[in-house]
Amino acid sequence: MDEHSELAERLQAGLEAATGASVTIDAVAPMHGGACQDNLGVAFTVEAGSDAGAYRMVLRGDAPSSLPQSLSRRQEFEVIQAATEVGVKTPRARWLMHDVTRPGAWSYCLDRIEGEAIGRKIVSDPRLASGRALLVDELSQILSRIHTVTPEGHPDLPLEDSDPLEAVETWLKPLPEPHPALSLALKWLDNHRPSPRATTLVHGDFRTGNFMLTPEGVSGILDWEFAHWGCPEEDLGWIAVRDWRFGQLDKPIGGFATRTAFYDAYEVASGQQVEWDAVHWWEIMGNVRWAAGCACQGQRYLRGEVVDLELIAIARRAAEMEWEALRLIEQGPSRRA
Amino acid sequence: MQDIPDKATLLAAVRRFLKADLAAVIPDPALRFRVLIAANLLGVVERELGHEQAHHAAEVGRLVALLEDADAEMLLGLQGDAARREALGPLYERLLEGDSADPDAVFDHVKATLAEKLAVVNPRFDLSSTID
Repeated sequence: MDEHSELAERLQAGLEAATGASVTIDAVAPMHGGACQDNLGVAFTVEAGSDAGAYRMVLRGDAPSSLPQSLSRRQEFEVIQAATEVGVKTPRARWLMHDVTRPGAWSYCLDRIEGEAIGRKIVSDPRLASGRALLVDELSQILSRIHTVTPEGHPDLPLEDSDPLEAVETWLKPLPEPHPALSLALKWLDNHRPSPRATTLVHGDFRTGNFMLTPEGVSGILDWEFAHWGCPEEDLGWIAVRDWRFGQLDKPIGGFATRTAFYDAYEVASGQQVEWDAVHWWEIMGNVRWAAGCACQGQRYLRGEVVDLELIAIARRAAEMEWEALRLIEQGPSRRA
Repeated sequence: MQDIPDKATLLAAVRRFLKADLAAVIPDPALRFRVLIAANLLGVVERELGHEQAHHAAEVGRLVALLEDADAEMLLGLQGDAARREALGPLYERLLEGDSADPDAVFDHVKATLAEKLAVVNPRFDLSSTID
């Protein structure tokens, strides 16, 4: 029996327990995408009960190893439920299961949605021009809805509220080589912390590459692996990180918009004022975090956890984000155009 | 001394083979993407072979200017990444702990070293200060 037919048996048992009905598995196939988590394409039929029907979904399971600060699929499942409840456009998550993808691992099924997620196509494919024209409005609305989820309203959401600098330092600690640029940037960040404002749900990876786009607009936001409690400016800074511009450097918001266009649209959608100095701090923080993330991905390869050419290739790209963090420190905050 | 073709020529030949001959005929986009990553990594190694002596000398030159007691001759004589990393690591710790009198010069040094790294890792990376 091959790996996938054993998995199909476990998936059947998991889904039968979750739906309370008999289930037939029609297909299990590997999918490309996501350097972090195990995703499989699955098709199955729930034979009876309130969930009865034929499904084509993504089975998303805990990866054998992941970056520190990333959520388990159990936490991620609850975050997606909370986001869906407040109207965030994201693939629906269903049927939390245990021991299906691997012993001890959590997994769940995600709706498949149509669209393009590849960054370079999002920012420049002429076939997506009509969808691209809607990005500022739609993404600012999605983001402002995410930020309506608060610890007070959702006391049971199993999320952390960690100090962002400490989080990056835990990524950097195991690295064998010095990263003087990150040390300098972290020192600057520590000396210029913005005063804390509202605490809300933060998506944590809200950027070009993590939403699906069709000519009709955004079909959904993806990848809640780094969600946590934090301040809204964190997501607003992260989407401006240079690496998500895919060649469109003069469009700092994800390669598709100016800061002024996006932050103004967010203010309209959320009714909250955007503090540009705080967003600048978070954009620097974002570059530092992604630089540390790149170096960590390389370590996962070097420690033998994952043999993946993409991971080892990413490690040296840390220098790009380090450069950008220092450039932003020198430039100072952008101003509304 | 080895015979020709030298290592830079061999690397360039393999990189061109991956990129020009192999990638074009791989139907699976995920696998083709990985072949292009492999070709790109060979390009990194080629550029590093070409620049490593000069970049090491430049980095040591700036470090010695910032930390007067650093031993330039010893540092310049180091061969190989491991030995260089071991010797430079403690110097960077001292720099970052404030052993240099001029924090702006430390910042400039770190940025100059990044520019050298980027010339190897991604020569298309735009180093101008006003990109947006």
